[in-house]
Amino acid sequence: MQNMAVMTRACVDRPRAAQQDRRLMAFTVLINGQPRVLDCEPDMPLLWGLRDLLGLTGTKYSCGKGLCGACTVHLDGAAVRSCSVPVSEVKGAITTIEGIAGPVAERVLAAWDAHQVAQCGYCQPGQVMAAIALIAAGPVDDAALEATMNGNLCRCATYMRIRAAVRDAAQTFAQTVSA
Amino acid sequence: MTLDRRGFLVLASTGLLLGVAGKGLSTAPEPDGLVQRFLAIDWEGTVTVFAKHLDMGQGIWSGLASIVAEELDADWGRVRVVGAPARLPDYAHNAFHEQTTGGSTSTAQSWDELRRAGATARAMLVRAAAQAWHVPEAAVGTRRGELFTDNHTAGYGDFAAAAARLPVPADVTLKSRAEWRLLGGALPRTDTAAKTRGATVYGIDGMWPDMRHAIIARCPQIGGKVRSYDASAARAMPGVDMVVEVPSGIAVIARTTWHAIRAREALRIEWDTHAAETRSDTEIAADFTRAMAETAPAYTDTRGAPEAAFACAHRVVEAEFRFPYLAHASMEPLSISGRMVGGVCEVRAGFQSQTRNQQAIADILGLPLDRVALDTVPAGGSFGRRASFDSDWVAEFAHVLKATRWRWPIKLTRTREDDVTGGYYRPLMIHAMRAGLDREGRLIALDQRMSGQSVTLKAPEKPNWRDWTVMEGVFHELYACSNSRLRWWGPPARVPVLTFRSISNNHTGIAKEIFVDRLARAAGADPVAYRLALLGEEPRQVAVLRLAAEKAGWNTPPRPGITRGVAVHRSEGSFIAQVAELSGAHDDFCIERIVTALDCGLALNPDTVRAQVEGGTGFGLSAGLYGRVTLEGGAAQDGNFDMYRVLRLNEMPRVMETHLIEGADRPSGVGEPGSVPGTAAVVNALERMGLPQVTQFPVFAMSRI
Ligand code: FES
Ligand code: FES
Repeated sequence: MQNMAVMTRACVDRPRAAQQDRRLMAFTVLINGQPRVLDCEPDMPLLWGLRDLLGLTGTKYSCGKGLCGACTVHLDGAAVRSCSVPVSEVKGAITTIEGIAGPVAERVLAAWDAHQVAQCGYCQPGQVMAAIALIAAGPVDDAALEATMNGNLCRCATYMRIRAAVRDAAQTFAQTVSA
Repeated sequence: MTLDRRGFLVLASTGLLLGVAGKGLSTAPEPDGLVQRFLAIDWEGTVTVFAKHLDMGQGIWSGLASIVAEELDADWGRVRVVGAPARLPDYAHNAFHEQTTGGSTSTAQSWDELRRAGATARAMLVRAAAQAWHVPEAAVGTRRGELFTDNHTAGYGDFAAAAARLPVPADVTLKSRAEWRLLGGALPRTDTAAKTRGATVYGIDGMWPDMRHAIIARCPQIGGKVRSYDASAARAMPGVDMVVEVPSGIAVIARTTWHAIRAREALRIEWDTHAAETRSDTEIAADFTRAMAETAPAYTDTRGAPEAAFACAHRVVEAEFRFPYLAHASMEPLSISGRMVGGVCEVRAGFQSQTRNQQAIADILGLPLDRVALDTVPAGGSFGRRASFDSDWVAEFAHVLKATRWRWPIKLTRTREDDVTGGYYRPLMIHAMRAGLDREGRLIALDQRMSGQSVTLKAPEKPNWRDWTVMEGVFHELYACSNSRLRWWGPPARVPVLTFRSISNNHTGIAKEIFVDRLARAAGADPVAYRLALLGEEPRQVAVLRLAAEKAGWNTPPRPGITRGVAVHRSEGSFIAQVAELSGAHDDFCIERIVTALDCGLALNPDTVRAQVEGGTGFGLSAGLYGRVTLEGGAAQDGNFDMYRVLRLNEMPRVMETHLIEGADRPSGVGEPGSVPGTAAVVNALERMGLPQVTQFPVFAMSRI
């Protein structure tokens, strides 16, 4: 929606605030392939750096305590809960939903579209991030699917379709790998 | 009709200029697109549908758009949806007479007006093309966003501006069903791609330059207010811009949400709790039960002579159920953002009751209504929470904006803890039921009592008013029993309560369906046959129950190790039956399959309907098996998802099959009915597997994680 894009462009650079507060530090984090500077306290969770400082709002807040998976991002390809990782401890490349690419991501997104998984959609970026990391890590059986995807809550209970979409994406990816 | 600022922005941003709607702006240039109340077509042929209802996950934006697109003969791939501005009477709900979403009524009440809107625009495009091509209108056909004759083809965009200059036809012909291309088929939702890729902007995602983030400290004891506070430590915290008092608490305004959350912990607040709730939810439940014995009911409805019938009963069966307070706990915690610009207050969120929300903001800020522009964006869930009659969460934001003198754009977020502990719950409700059976086990007498708060907030002035938000879906009204009495008590509590997916059906329906199953067991009867005998006046319930039973193979024994349970209900104008198949033991089970039969009239998008049944079933099971807000001393104890338990993926049924019956030629509700019978069907199976009779919900406490 074009009108919203204009209004939602993040405005995040606040050098004035940074100068005023001596406890602020500049952390450079590789996010979606680009070095980004986060001016913040060392213990600020990555989630808030992404959302409130960089305007990457595809990563969602829902519990803030590692209980729901809405904030899932990739750290060197592995799924992490960005609400539970302090900015100062990010040692590696971060990928958010805005930056996903590659064959696994394509298959996961295609499966999510094909199964029409999203209802309110709020949990889905986190679900997709969890699914991509799961499938990229190796073959997925139902036990692994449950163990991983159980960590991502969906209040709309789209679980039937999440299950089907993960199975589908895992299968089509495995076929291309073996082909 | 004049366009408000937001409407103008929509048009400006899409290259649309003002057509038929533009007479309020005398400087409006010549139109290059067609703009009407419910849709706009720009010169490129993109169709924008203005949705007056909120999409909170149920897919209504897509659903409304598909009705317009069908009659318009639009290209579905070029249809987008935005929230309509807050404006009466243009966007009023046709039954509630204000702009609002609820009761699974959106599709049904929009059906006629949106079909006409699409057909009207199509007729104007056809006329414009006919004039330009010098052919009779009958010679111009439409398909997928194109106008054509034997010799011409053009896109809708090519004639949008010309169409806008034509008079709006008073009468249009609607398509016959045989002509439908989109409705009734498998149409992908318009919002799937953006939601899946994190591109959808929810209320919690809004941003403007220089925006600040607000968090409010509220009294843990529900209903308490600020007596005094010391914010010196909080103000000294890094990133904090301001601390202000608002009616609901103390608001911290900071550089990021996290800074605000952290500084809130440094506030020292003394609460005034004289008007606050003081009881635990267990004590409240006991008081509600006692009220039934000691006070007069607020409502009584009696058919026949129940007491005389009880006197002849061969056997009396009794049950009591306690339903807890429930938090809606949508994944997007309540959040809202806005700013004051040029004397206009622009506010963005998933608004469910735009008319009331807009009025609340205008009242607090002292603005005329037309200076409050609501930008309704999709909500990350609601389940009723956003529909609060007093606009609590919207008003609170307006107070923050006012207290900060609208110095910055502000986003007010609730943490999960704020969201779960803040009241506005599904009411705690006690059901006490008594049935008299004759020698053959047939139901001859019923006495049903209920005690709990009404979400209508005010005790009705009219004596003995049937408060449908409490009583819709009760046994007394849905099963045929000629000697029957229903009574309701509405004892006081200071816990604000609110609509929750399927309103009262989420307790009345469950109590009804567990109780009738116990009656069938007491009678030694088949639970499907027993229900069918009581559903004489309910042919559509009979039909779904028969179909669910047939599809589940009810008349053949289940596989070894499987136990079945069944439930049937009607709500929101629709009819639903579910058969659950469980394996394992009653304390360690798996829901292997749920077979559903649903009659929601005309299913405009069968796949969306199935999705709502699946999600609704999971939502209902979540509440029935695990959901409870626990109060101690008037304060909610279950702050986050570790304490307020919601269903996870492994607890979802393994298989769900949904069969649709088209019992009417118009659509009826689909968002809510699916959330009702699942719990009862599962409990009925569990009780057959040996679970001691359920007397309170949730069925399982925290231990089953
Ligand atoms: S917000 Fe990070 S896990 Fe819930
Ligand atoms: S789609 Fe709504 S929370 Fe998952």
